[in-house]
Amino acid sequence: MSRLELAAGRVAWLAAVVAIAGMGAATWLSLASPGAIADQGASGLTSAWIGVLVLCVLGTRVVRRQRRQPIGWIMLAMAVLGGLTTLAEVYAFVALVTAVWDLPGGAFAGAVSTASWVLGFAGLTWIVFLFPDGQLPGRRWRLLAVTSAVAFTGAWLGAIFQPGKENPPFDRVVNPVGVPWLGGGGPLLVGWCFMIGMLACMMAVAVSAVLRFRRSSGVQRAQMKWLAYAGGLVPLALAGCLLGQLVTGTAVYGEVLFPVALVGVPLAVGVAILRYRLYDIDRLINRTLVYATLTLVLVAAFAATSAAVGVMLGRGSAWATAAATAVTVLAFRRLRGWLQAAVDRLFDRARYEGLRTVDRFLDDLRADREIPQRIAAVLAAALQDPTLELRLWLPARQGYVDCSGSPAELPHERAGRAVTMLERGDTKFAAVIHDPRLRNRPDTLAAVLGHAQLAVEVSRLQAEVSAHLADVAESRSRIVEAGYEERRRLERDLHDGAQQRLVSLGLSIRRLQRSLPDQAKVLEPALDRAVAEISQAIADLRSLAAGVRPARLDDGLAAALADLVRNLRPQVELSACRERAPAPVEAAAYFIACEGLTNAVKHAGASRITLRAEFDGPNLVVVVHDDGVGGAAPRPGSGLAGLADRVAAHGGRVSLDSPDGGGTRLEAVLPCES
Amino acid sequence: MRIVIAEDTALLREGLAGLLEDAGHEVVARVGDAEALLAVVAEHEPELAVVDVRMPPDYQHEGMLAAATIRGRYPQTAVLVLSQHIETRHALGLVGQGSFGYLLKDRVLDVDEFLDAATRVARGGSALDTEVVASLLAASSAASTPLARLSERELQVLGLMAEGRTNAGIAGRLWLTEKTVQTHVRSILSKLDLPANSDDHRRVLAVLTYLRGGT
Repeated sequence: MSRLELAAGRVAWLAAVVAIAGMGAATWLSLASPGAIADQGASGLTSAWIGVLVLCVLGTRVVRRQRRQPIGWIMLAMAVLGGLTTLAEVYAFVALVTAVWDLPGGAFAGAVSTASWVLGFAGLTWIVFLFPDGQLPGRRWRLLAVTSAVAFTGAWLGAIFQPGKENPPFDRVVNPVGVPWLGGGGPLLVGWCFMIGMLACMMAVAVSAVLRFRRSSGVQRAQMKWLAYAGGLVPLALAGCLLGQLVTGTAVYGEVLFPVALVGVPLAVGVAILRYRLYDIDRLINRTLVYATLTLVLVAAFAATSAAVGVMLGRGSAWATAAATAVTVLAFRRLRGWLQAAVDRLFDRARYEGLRTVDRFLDDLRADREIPQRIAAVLAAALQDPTLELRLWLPARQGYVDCSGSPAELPHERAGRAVTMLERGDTKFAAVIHDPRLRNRPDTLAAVLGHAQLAVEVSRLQAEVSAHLADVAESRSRIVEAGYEERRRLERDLHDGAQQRLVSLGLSIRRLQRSLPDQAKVLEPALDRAVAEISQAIADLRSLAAGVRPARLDDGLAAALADLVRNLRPQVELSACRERAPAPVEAAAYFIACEGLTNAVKHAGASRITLRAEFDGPNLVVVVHDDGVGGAAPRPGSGLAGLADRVAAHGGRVSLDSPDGGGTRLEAVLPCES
Repeated sequence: MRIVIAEDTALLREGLAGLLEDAGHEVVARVGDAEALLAVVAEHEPELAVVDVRMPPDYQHEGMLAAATIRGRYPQTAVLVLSQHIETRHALGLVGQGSFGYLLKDRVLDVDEFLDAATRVARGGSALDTEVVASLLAASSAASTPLARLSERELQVLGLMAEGRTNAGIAGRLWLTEKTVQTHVRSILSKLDLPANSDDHRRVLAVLTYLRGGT
């Protein structure tokens, strides 16, 4: 921090101390001097305190944050002005009006204090003019800056040096610094010019603020909204005063509401510049509109009901009040909903449309016209963020999935994406990944997500169920594949174990046979028979092993099927593509063909059998077709039923078409992509 | 004939060796895996290697791969592969080149046939198991029409040609005269549009190429 900045900080503190000291002195004076409080009233002093304190706090904070921000310094200047003016006013009051104590310079203090309103307006005008970045709206506005400086200064000096009697309540004395020359015709005209110029400048500044608002976007837009909000509070407060006076017959509301509205402007300015909860402005405006209108309508309803019932039952009847209260209470909830929707529609179209989009989706969902998985797309539309993604939390997997159920990650923190967690109680159940700019509309974001919570939860439950189903399907296909693996092992054991032993045995007999002496040749036929038996046993073993899992499948499905149909009668018309499929799929296709052919050959009495195994896109399609008796049906526990299970484990399906007397067509579709 | 044997089952290995020695051949080495096989072939440069398909360590097709290596590196060493079951992926290409045989293991029980095939292969001929040929014929006839134009007898002759047998061998097998066999062969080759060739293993190559191409 540079020395200059340190000095600036000290000056800011000094200003705050001076302002508060002025207020303190004024308060002490009015408390100590008998009659002052009673005559002038405490409320003026209280609102002065509130105004000065607000300005001090905001001014020092703004200056501490942004040394070069003139608005902070204007606030501090206004605080000092407020403190000193209040002191001067009370001093003049004690000296001139109650006149309990004999104080010097009372008339001068009166003149200064009654002229200071000009500076108050100057400060406010300049705050609005320079808001929110401390810069003029543009180079062309310099003229207005100069003009307003001249006009305000002129008007202030004119008010101080005004000749003749002072303004009320000090109109019993003559202004000691009054300049008689100013009372002349020409100067008076100039004075009026200053006044009118001042008013014109204030209007021009208001226009500049409107222009600035129109041009603004992002942060500045929200800041301008704060200012507009505070500005809008003033007429609202006035309306409130008026209404309160109408209903209660006293003006006490005006004394409370009006200062609140005036303090509201610096408060709004401070919030906007310090950017504390800057983006809550939309919600604030929204709710203010809703509740202000609600209050107005309810007060009107209360008044109307009590008047109407009062006419019937006589004025002051307890029934009138009771009826009016009942009407008000009953109307409250309904009315609030309507008003909220109306305000949203009028002033926050995005939020209104977003909620409507979600509502429509929920209706469609209940009517079964929509599926819960579409919720991500609906949220993207409702929040107008096409990049929006939804992640559903699956506690069982301790991980996120997207709406289609495939595992997905949350983006890294610095990936330029924002993540909003959806929670029920303390447990998260989903996360929304969205454009960080949505954070600028926290009200809309929260409202839409809150509205969609049910649909998101349904979608999450569905994802959870389908994740479980996927696990089950996966384990089923693992079991089937393990079955195939077991068959392969068994086939290998048969070939490498039993078959080898038999061959060895046969070989021993053959050697024995060849080494027989001539006189033992009578044994040869018996030995030949033994070897023939062994050969038959080996052939049996080979076909047994082939039934378990044909080793020819290693050469491809086409080769295995060609082997399969080779010895069948009637001859089978085979067309099999030579393209390879994954081993488990080929095995499944092979066994389907086996089952179909067995049925056709053994039971159907067919004269013509065709077997096709061909690719149809990503699927391997096996068809066994015969012209036999038909009427085949998969009975539980039958080979066909078992096959259907196995095919289903691969995500495929089997269909059997076998009308009585119309032949049989067995078709299996096996997806090759897992 | 100098022979090496590669077979991991000791009982069978000794049986085979005995059989071949009984027939008057010299078994110069007996090993149990493919690596040792390559070593003894390099050392002895035998006329024939009798090789089991499945051997340690993985019991896949180590024998077949070793056979291919031997055929590539030692042209004077013929290879006769014995398999537990038909598996043609690697075998067919080698059979067509001659000095190579592929038989089911239990063919050794038909001792004379087996010794004949071994001798044929060692002399540069081919031997392909009847089962393999039958399967090739079945697959081929399912897919191509020219085979349907062959007579029953011609199909038999074609099968025996594919097995790698000489005209004399076919004649002996079918109880025909060699001359008749020659007539059948010519007829078959012209029906299938194959070049007439006196060289036996070229003939096998042509027939096998035809059958494989047809399937």
